[in-house]
Amino acid sequence: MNRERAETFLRLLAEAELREPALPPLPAPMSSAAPLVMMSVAMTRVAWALTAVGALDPETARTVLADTDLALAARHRREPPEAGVIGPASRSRAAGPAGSRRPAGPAGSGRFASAALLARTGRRTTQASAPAVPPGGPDRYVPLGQMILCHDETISAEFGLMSYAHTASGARLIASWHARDPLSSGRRGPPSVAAFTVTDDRGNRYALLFDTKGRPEPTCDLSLRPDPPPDIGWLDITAPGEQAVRVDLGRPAEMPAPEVCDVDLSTGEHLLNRVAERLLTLAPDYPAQLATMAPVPLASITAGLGVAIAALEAAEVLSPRSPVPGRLATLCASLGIDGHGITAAPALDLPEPWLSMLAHYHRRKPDTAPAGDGFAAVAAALPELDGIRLVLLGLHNCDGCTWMNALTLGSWADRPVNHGPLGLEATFPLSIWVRDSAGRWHVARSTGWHRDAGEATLALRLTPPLTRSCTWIEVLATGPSAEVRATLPLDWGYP
Amino acid sequence: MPPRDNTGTNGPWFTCLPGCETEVPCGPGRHTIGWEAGSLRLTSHPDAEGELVLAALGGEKARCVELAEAWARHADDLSILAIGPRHPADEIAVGWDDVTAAAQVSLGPRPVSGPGLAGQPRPGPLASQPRATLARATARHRQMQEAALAAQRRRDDILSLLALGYGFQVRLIGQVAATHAARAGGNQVRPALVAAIAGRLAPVAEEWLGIDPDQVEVSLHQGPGWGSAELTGHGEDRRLRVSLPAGWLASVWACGLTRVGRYLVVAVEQPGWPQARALGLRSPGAEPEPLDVRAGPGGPGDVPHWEV
Repeated sequence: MNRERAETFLRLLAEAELREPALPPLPAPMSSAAPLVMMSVAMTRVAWALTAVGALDPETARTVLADTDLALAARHRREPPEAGVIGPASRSRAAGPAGSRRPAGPAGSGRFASAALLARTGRRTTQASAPAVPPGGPDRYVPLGQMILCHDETISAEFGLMSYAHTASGARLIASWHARDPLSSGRRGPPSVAAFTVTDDRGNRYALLFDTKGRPEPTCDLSLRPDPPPDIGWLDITAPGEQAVRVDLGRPAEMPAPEVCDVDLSTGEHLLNRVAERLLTLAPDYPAQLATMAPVPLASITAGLGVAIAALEAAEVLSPRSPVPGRLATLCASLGIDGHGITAAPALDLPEPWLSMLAHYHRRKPDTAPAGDGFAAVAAALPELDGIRLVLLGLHNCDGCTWMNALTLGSWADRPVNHGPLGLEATFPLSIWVRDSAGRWHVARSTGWHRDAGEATLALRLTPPLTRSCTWIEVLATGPSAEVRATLPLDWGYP
Repeated sequence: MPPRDNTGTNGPWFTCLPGCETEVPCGPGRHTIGWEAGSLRLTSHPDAEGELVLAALGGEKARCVELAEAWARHADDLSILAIGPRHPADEIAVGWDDVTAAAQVSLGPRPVSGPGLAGQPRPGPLASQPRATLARATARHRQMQEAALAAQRRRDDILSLLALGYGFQVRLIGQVAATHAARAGGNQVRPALVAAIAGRLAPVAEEWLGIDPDQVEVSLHQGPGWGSAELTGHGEDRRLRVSLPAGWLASVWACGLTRVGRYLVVAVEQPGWPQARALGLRSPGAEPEPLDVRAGPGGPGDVPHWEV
């Protein structure tokens, strides 16, 4: 990795931006909400790509972008009679070959309001991390697959217990819930667990606390208070007016040992693969275009990719002979996306998961019936990948979507969220795919997480969704340096 | 403000630059600020240090004094190279009205983030340890507020310096480049210096050779000698590869010497004003020739126009 060349590439790109033909005068302000448009998408994409692979530190990237923003703003002239009067700008610069310009800054606060120069401290700072989870903690993960029912005059509800997890931050049951109004059969909000009684095999009593922890609505954590001993054998959970349900915590996770192997991917290739996954997860949002093989309108995602690839090559994190840019070009062509600027010749050897998804999208008769609701008991702690331990704690289908509930442990959980311009979480560097028992591939994308002292609860949405006929899945998690494969049997429960 | 010690082997970098002046709005009137031999001069504030003491005690600080402070704060700020002008026609349209208006804009407590580089944490329910989460969130919020305020201060500083006009902008760029040339900075500053030279050499190379500015490749020369320049390839593969020291920005570019007649000036042998001796290339790959040059009237922003 060549950090100096990475930064130089971005700075020279800024110089090229400033060399563009004279900026047109800004017309009279049209409204206070009109945005000021400045830097090209290519600049922000290059900064993001170089930062995501670690070739450029975020502080430097932000400084270069902020300087360029102010340099561009300082070169705009206002047409008379507004000259010398600060007011909101109103018209975007014409999109250059690198893509459209981005709106910048708050509206109505002057053309320099958006040029947020960064304060330099005189030294490069590193992100301070919170105390890590102590080694040798009580980590314990158990698949469950049991239902807790509760009924009264106002609610008829079920909790589908997917797994039990006990980590440094406490013990909890990961569950999906379903609640109806018994009179109208309409949906209800989450049932209260305050009146539930919970005892363990030693006679200890616990309270349950309901917490969504950033997951999609039908799933939750039912945390146990106080924290139980690490080796309890079972829990009896009793809803008011119902019989106790014994939850066996001695059940072993029936899964073959995960396979770990090194990957021969550069960090640049890994990033581009994740961009491809992003495209594949967004494509089904345009079913009409997919069905008719019309261009999928995702050019906003791919704009500037060609320049970003050149930047990754300059930073020596992507070989000029890498097949990945060519594959990405093929994927874009398959989805009818152009304007990406990738100069590599399209490659025919697309990875099997990409082909599987493209085949699914381009079927003549795509799925019309949503996957049925349900949950599957899963508990699998995967080996650490690039400083992240991924723990899978259940699958559930709801409203035609499939979600994988997960927990991550490691330093990532304490870093600030950084979605990046493509919606990729830059600080979570894992690519996660799932192959189902019918051989179809599904890409997993994190849609929400909740961080708490060395842990992050993660909701992964699978695209396309799983069907309940699926009896096992193979999870493939790939990081920049290694990948892990784990086969998990699925035991579906039904709400 | 006294100049930094940027004396090179042939004398201070600014020896080829005459003094310059401009008027700035200060208090109820307009005051003259000057630059002379590497120093900013506040002719209307003979006791600037005394005014600073009064300001520290709660008095109002004059804009002239603020400008002198900003000049000193940014004398080694690489952002000046990234934002400032590349050539005389590269007009920076910042006036004192802009400075006043920008200073009135309150950034408030919003976080400072580069486009697409730092997202906002998604709102969510309280964690199982709400006190710790709240403390972290409060600390992060405070950090963001402080960063936003510092960024606002920095932006106001730079806008003020730009409002001084082309002559002062060029002299500040020279000061920054000379400071880093004297430090012989390492990898951390090299990309900014390479880009700064490339951005200012490429337009000149276009006039000199008719080459596309994107085909000019610059590297930072370190060690003895002026550097190197060679032209390679044809058509789209044509490249002008130039290696120059960071001090070129100060002693050549900032002094208006970049191109004199048909020559690209790569160094100054005997600095002086209005006469100097420079080293110029007639063509890439040729040996540099000593050129006796003379400053004529009519240069932009009090930057001399030189002739052989």
